[in-house]
Amino acid sequence: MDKKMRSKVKIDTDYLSALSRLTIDPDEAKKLKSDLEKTIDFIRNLQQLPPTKQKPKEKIENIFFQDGEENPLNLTYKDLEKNSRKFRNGVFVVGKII
Amino acid sequence: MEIFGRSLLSIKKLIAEKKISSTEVFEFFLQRIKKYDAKINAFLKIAENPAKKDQDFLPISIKDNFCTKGIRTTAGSKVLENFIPTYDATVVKKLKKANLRILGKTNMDAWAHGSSTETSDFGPTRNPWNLEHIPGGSSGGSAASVSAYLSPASIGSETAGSVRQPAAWCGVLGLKPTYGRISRFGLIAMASSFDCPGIIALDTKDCAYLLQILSGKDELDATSAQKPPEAYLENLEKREKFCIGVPEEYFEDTQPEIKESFEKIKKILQKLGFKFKKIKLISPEYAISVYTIIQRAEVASNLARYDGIRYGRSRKFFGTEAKKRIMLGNFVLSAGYYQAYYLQAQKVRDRIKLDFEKIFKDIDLILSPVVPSTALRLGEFEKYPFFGELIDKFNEPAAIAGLPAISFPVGIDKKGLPLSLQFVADHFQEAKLLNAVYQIQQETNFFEVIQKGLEKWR
Repeated sequence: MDKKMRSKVKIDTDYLSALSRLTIDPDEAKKLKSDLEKTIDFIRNLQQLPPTKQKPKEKIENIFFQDGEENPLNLTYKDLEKNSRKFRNGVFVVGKII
Repeated sequence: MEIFGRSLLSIKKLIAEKKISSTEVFEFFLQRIKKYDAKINAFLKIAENPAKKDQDFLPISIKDNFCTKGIRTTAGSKVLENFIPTYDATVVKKLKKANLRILGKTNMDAWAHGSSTETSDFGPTRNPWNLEHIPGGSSGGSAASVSAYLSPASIGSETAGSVRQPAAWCGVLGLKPTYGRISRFGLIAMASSFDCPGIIALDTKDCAYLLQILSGKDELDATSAQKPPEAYLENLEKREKFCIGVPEEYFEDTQPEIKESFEKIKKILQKLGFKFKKIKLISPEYAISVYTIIQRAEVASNLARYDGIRYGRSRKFFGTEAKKRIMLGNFVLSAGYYQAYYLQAQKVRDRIKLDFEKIFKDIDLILSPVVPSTALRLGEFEKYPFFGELIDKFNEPAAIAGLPAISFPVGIDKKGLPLSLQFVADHFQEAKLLNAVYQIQQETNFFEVIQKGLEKWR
């Protein structure tokens, strides 16, 4: 186990919530920090397992679908519009990024 | 003709023999839901009576994370409070094709994140055996709906224990098939390499019947198995003698009555010609960590799609449990931690799979507890940083390896709550699971537990 793994992990809730695009209030942050650190402390038990020379059991292959060729559910623009509050003139309206 | 307490297949027979109509059956259950569900909160949405003259339909409840065309589907979260799918999940399509119709959508932990149904954004479901206790989860609404006979059977889903555990705590049957045996298409994704639709029922024959209907390859789910559905119902009548493996260390930290039930069942099965063998599996403590890491990583990825643009509401509607899981998922996937956590968990997942592969060369089934205790009281989950993973420690190993399993009732504890055990089988050996449980149903009085539970809500 390397040095980084031996020391107790401190969670930076501001960084992780930003990375996750989540808004958390200060009280929630406190609880999340405590729970996450306890969980990480537990899951580090995997580091204690002696290494093996075993090879990965199965090779995972991506399965690709051709984009735009099939519409097995026969979805229409009208269907898309039904559940979106941000669908105007055939397109989804998204916020500015820059 | 009394409907109360009858299994799904028994109702089917009555309808076929014209002793009762579909309309009457639906009305019976809809009235019961109206009368009792205010106390239990098993349902998030009640469907209208679909039965029409000369059409024989059977009712079934379904967890609210299966997309149902035209019927609100929330996955227990306020993010999807107003989401009305424009298509049916493959499971729903197959049910409809077999003339089953949805009675209602059942409550669940939000996004299936939990094992108590208390993280639902629509209030907790209560255990029909004792309303101060939790039904388990995340398919708690489904299990409670069957246990209180608000539905004759239900479809739930499981990543690791979410069918078996609530079924165990509500004193009914919970079947989790092999990963890929039933299509995941239209099941709102939680952790895609674990997610698996499952069956909650009152009778082994109902489990076999529903599995027969739902299994098979689906072109819309690349991970569904090529294997065609099997004749599970026919297979029940064979008197097979299985070799049962028992991981004794699994019983060490369990409520004593669970161990006592195991001893009872062992004697009965030995008399029936079953053989028992001690086995040693990798400690479930490692399975907890493997499951926690990989599931959180997949949750972070799956829930990234909820941006409030195409459907659903914005990310500010996620509850604390979902936030916790997304954040841990992003943590274990981030640079500097990926190898130590995510990659290591994948390696140990392989070790657990190989461990089972080796074990199943010598035995047919594994018999183990489902949960360390009977149903806990409401609010217990708040005391644990990751309640679901700890409570499901006996369910996670099989889920990690994608194995099928079934939980079944074996008694009642001193507090008056149901006790359960589970069988686990090798991949695609659901027929063995069902056969063994059916023999128990036929040869013991264990299934009286189910009837006792129902009687509380007559």
